[in-house]
Amino acid sequence: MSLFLDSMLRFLSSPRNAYVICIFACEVVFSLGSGFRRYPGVRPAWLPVPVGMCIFLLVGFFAPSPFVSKYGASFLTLSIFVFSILLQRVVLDLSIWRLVFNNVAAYAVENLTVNVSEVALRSSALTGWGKLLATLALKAAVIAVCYFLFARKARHQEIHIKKPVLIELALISVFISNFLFSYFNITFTGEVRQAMRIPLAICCFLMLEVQFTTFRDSSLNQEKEVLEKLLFREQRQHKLMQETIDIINMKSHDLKKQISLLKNRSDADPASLISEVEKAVDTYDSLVDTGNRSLDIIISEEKLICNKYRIPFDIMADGAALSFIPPEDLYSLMGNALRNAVENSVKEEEGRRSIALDIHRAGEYICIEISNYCTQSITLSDGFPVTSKKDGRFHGYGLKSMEYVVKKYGGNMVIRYQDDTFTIKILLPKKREESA
Amino acid sequence: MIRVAIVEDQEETRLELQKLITRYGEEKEINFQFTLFTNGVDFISDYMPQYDLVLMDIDMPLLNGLETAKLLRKLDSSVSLAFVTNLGKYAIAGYDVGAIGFIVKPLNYATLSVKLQRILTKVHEEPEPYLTVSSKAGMVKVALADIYYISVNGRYVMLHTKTGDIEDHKSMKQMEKELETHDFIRCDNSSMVNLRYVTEINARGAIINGQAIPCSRSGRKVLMDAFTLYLR
Repeated sequence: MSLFLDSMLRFLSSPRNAYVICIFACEVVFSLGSGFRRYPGVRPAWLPVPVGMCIFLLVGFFAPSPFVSKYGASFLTLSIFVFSILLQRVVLDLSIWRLVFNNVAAYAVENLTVNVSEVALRSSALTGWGKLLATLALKAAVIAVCYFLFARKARHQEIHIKKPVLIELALISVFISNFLFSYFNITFTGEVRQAMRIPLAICCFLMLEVQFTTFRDSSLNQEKEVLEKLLFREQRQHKLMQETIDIINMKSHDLKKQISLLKNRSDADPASLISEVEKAVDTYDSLVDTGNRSLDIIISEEKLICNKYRIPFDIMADGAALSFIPPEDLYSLMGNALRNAVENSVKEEEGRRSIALDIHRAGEYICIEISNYCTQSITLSDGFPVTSKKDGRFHGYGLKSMEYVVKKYGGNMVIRYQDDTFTIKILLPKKREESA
Repeated sequence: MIRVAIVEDQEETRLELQKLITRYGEEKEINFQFTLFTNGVDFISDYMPQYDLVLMDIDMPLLNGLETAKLLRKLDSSVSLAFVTNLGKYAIAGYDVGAIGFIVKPLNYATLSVKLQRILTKVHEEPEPYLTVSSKAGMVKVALADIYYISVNGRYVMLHTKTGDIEDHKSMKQMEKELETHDFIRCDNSSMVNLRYVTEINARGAIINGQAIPCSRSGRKVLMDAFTLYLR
């Protein structure tokens, strides 16, 4: 029995195996919360997870290492890093970039645990099982702390970090530090080596901070973009109101002129005069009635402009279906879509302009479709039109604003350009689930 | 060939519409077959679903366009319907009867052709496609419209249809290739769904007949986009 325990102790204490166990624990911690990939015919569906774990441990413990130079340990850890990413790619439902991010973090945490435990147990007199258990406990504690500091918040969030930055992080955190630390371990021994541990531990901790700060920053950048879009929306709204007021002023001036002319005519038939005035006023009398007052106002504004530029605007809208959307979001969604259609239609030759708006309920969803005839070829990149205006930063924000609102209500937006028709199709689920 | 029914009380407009659409057909090499009606009552009495597109005038005596359309929808929920009108205010009620567009009088070819282009993308004129299935029981023909979803069954696939489950001796990859232009989406390694029967897409997956078909992260995005464009 004691023979078994002895060989167990030796097995678990060997540097390689200790490394494998530790990096395994770190990788698991940073993979928490992600889904696993499903494969046809695999039952139960979560089987790849424990199988993957076993494969990792077996390969980690027993696979022969071809690298026997003094940098052997260094090559081993790098191979395990790459192997981990590939294995996780097969088992987990995550993109390669997310896996790179997770494993870079796991790598740094493992490094940190080693340095911390070495420093803490430096002057302890523990040996054998006592030492092993104390080391494991310390490492577990460090991993737990890192989980709460770093992994927990990043768990369910998407990676927004640009790929070159991710590669840079991976290179520094893993590859360069790997060689650096190996160099230290080989070149220095005894007291010097121990003394190096503290700065190395701090180094690891800082690398983790940098990695997760970059992660947080990229999310903040997203938010900043959103705020800029909101600002753009407000500016556009102001401009729109100006145009509308101008049109109305012009028309009311015309009307006043008409009325004064009529006042001075004594020979005309009163009935026909009145009907002339009625006709002029008619253009502005309840332009649209979709069953949603806010939507009516948004559409009316655009319809006025369409009338001015002679753009046929077909409206088939069940406005009541959108009653759950507050006016400002409705404006972001519909105002931008329609303004986009108008701006594009104006570029077409007169007589060959057409805008259509369709809002109706279909099963569990509300379908919104805005289409306009458009002969200038539009190329889509990543689902959005490639911008050509020299407007700079603000161009394309109209559509992005729309997407933000659509996502807020748990819907989906797709843009299509086919047969000279530019279409924005939106689905919003009837059950209102808002996600901030 | 697209079978068009024109329901319009004014003869001039009726013939003008037919002329302009024929001209459009010549330009785009589409064959149109017309059936003309002078009022809603004639159109709706003895109505048989034999048209791909109905152009309905709104302002007609006896039974106006909207009322006729409501009766039409009771008999035929899938034929494409577009209103012909010079009354802007009626434009809004068209969604009630699932109208796909408006043609506003006075007619002019340029505007009409632009409208037709959009309307025709939604008019289905192809006959129902079939799939030839080779299973243990021999060769069977299955209508694509009858398939709810397809799942992997060992080396082959299982078609889950209205009339039951049928095994097909093809791999999922082959199936994907064969159905790539027919509203079937591969949402997962082991499943392909027919957009026609998807009622909802949520965290559980694609919902067909109350059953949830699981979707992978990337598969869900592809499915959601296709579903967004598909849903009418």
